[in-house]
Amino acid sequence: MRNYVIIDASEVSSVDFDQVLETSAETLRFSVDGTKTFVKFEGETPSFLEGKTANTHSEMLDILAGEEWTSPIEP
Amino acid sequence: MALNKLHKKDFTIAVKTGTDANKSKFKKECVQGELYFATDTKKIYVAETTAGASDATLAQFDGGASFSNTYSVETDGTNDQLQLPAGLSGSGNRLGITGTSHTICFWMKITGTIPHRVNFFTNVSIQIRTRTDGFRFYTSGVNKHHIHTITAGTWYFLALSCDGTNHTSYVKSLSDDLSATVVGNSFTPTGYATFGPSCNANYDEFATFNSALSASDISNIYNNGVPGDLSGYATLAGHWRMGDSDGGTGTTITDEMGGEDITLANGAFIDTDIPS
Repeated sequence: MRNYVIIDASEVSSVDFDQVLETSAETLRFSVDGTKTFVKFEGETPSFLEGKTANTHSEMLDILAGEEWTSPIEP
Repeated sequence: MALNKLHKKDFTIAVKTGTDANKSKFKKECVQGELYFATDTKKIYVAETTAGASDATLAQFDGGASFSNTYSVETDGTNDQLQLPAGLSGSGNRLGITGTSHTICFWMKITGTIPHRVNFFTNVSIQIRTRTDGFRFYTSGVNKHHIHTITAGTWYFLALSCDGTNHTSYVKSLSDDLSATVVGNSFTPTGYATFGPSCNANYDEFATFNSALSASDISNIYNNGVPGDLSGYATLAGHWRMGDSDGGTGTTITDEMGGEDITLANGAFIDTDIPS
């Protein structure tokens, strides 16, 4: 099962991409205002994410559907 | 030397079709020499004997064994994506398309809630997006084709055929057979392409062609909902089988035509959910 953790954009430099499913900093998805991003992992929580809130897949999809993460595009 | 000519009355060919499992019925009623084609496994059986008190014996030939579809690629709808090429950089010919007559097609299935206004295929010249009430194709950034069908959990076959002037989009499923045509500017779709990242979906059998395939061609490729072998299409330019050419594992989707490969980024993975 995948777990999703939202982090501040300023924390990207501390992400160990060997411990998350994201490929690199260049492939991260950021919030509309650019201040937040998220990473996901399976299994044990990576040490650099301990203490942070982990969301389930469905919870993360609900979060990403909001205006904070998705800017409206033309019809 | 005199040649023995064969005439129509000298022989008949009877081919029956069905699933591989249902060949058991064929074994009980066939006549020596009759053929049975298993549509699911692509195997061909020839009756060696005539059925009677005992079932007929069948000789088996792997007529279509060179093609099988077992895998697709799934994206989780958060940030998983398929990158062509890795890193989505460069402006060259990434799709194998070299002119203004071209076609792209692939299969897709959305899981869960249909996202509204989300691009799931993006190229400089072509974008295909979801709306809660259907698929929308954009060509040259302005020409819209809105096709009113989309249901979660349904495998769709999507195609866009451009002949240099007319752009025709197709959406097919077991319950849909729709198309729309607009007149637009001529374009050659260069640059990178990506599937995802904001759509929880499966993708399969992505193919590009250096010709505008006809409606008949599109129907043939749709093949009543079962992907088939595309190697017979002379203008096939790129073919990414979404795991079937790569052993069903890894993060590389090889282009069967020798062009650029797709990279699965951010956790996009090969799955066994396929159109059938």
